[in-house]
Amino acid sequence: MKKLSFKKGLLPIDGLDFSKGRALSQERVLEQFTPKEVLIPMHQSIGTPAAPIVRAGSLVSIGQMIGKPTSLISAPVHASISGTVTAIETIRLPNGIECAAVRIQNDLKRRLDDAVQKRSSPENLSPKDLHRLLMFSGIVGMGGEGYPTAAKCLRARKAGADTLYVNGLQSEPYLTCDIHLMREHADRVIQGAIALGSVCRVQKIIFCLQDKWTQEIAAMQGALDRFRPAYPDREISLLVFKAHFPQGYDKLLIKAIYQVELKQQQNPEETVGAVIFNVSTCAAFWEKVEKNLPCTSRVVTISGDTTAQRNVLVPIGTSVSELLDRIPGMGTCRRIVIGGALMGVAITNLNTPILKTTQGITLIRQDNPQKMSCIHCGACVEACPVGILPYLCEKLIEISDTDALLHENIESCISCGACSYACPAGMELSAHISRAAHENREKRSGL
Amino acid sequence: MIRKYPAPHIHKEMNISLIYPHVLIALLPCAAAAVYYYGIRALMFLFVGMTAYSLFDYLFSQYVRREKYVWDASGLVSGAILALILPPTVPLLYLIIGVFLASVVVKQCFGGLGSNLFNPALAARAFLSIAFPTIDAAYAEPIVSRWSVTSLLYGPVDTVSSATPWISQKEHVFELLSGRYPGAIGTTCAVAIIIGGIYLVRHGILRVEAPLSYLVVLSLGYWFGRGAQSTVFGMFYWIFTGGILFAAVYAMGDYSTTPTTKYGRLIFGAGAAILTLLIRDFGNPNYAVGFAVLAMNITVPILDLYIRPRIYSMPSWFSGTKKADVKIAGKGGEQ
Repeated sequence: MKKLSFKKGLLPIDGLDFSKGRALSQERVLEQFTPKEVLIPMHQSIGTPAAPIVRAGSLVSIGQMIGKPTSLISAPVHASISGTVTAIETIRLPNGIECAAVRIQNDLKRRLDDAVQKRSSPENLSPKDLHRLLMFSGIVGMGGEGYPTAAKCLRARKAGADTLYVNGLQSEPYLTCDIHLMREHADRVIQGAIALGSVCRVQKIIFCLQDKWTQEIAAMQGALDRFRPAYPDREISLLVFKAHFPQGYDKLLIKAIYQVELKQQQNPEETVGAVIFNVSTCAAFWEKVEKNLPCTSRVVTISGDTTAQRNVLVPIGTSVSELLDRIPGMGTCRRIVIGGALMGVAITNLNTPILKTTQGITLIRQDNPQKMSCIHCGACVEACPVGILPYLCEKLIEISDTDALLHENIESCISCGACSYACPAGMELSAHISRAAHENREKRSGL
Repeated sequence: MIRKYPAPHIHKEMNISLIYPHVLIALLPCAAAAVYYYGIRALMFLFVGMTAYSLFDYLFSQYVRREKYVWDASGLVSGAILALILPPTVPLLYLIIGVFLASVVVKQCFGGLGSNLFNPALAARAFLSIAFPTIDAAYAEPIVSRWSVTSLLYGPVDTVSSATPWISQKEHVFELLSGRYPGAIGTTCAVAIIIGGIYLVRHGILRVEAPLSYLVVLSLGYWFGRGAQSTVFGMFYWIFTGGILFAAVYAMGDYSTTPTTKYGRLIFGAGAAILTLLIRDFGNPNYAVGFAVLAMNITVPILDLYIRPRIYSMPSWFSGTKKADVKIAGKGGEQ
């Protein structure tokens, strides 16, 4: 089978890939986590935050809507556990956004909302019904993008997209939640993807996987063969990609498949007619279609260099400290990272809740290497997937030469962290460059 | 215990404090060959070169009060390389002068590790060749007087006049590979250099582009230049002697003085090879390798700026943001 990849700026896998097969296969069972209380933020997607529609003291059940969308690009928020609302607070999320959040005390009864019941024939729903379900499911891009899925489907339909890609390329080290879903719940992922395909009016559905997950590729191929007869009008296939970081990034995925490079303002739907969904998003949508259960929980990887790999089904809003309470290795780690080890955000406040976009929690003991001067080795240049010269940009940032930075195309930076990872001098290239790029973009949009 | 850090949170294992010790390990076979051929004299050269280089580095950075002096093994590497590329007959004083020049003038005055324009060891060697031309006319036969005290103090007695006088129609394959012929103390043993090079490549420290293009262009030049007289042995003789192999591994593998991009390094190697060919054929062969590499060192900032990867979603590698756009954006910001 032909393996696809983007050509330039590849980061070889040496030492990066701690989450390779061995550690993962021991962790077969998906455990369900039951928190004592949850804190559900209203702003979990791109766009406007949802407005809370419950008060302190109200009784809520699993799947009940507690925040309603305020605009077209906004997603509703649902209670993830049953219990009593104790307070509505203002919190600050790891990405710096402040928003309202609903705190719910768990009564441990697992009461489901009345609307949550198994549908008798989920296959017979019309695309229109499915789209309505999607709009009320509160599903957002669960790969970390956070774009409301209903809005994305609408955009894809308007642009006339013809192919749906299911992004299972979790190229971040340590993170395996998507891979886990594909292996354990391949049926849900495939059916969810087909349902999303009918919402977008797309006939071609393609699953993307990295070549290092050989077991999963085999499992997916078997599952796809099972599903093909049931959906004769769909073209379902599998694409294998080389294991590279950051292969899961949308623009690089499109480049690997179509050899087309998207400009900053372009989206894949309009340019090449491809719409990309994450594996978790597909699985969550099938929950909604099959059981009418909205997005109330997600699979979170807990991993890192101090602890063994595990994937846990966590209700949205569970605080990190509660989730990590019984994890061995928690005491010895130096930092707790929301997301992957390369692009994640290190948090200091352990009461941060798990969001719909949180793929995992990584516990890192490894310290930053000794900071030294640049030795001009070019490791960052070879690592950069977009082709900027990080060492030069760092020097220009030091002397704050904005014009020259623009000339170096610093705005192309995708903040993947590959340059800092590769730097033997321990310089914080990625942090400085992505901050400067962000400032530049803001300045330009302010013009 | 829990602190805030910017992403990314993991780093490649190979950092500066490991790279230079690895290069030192890769230099071990060459050093062993040097000690085998020239005995205590080579040992003393290596010792003096390495310690003096580190000492000068440290003293200078203390003198200019460079912020936060962090010791790294790069001084040891450059000192060892300079010691290995000198003929055994060189007086010790010259070695120390060379080390001073390499450390203080060529490296530290340009800003220290990573900022130097020229390869310190080769620049110092070039300076010594010009300032003390006698050193290039006095190479010694190996093994003959390796453990005598007089050779430690005054250098080997029985000198021969040119760098690689051993040349004949017979194919001395063993001599060619083992380096048992007069030359600089550490650069003659081809096998040792190749072992070191393979070690560096295996650890991802030596990037193969520059050395490969250098050696390939040199051998192509040999085939074209010699025409019908060229033989396979002749080609290997051409690229294994005169320090070419040593320069290919340890001067083309130097980070600060080679371009950062793959294509830049290819051009760097090819350019150095062409200069080497020219100097060898029409100039003084003693200077062929050193001056070719030093001349290409000057081009590195230019190669860095113009031979660069294409930016994602930009049509070609240089037409990123146009100057005009930059000016407009700058003006807009001021308003």
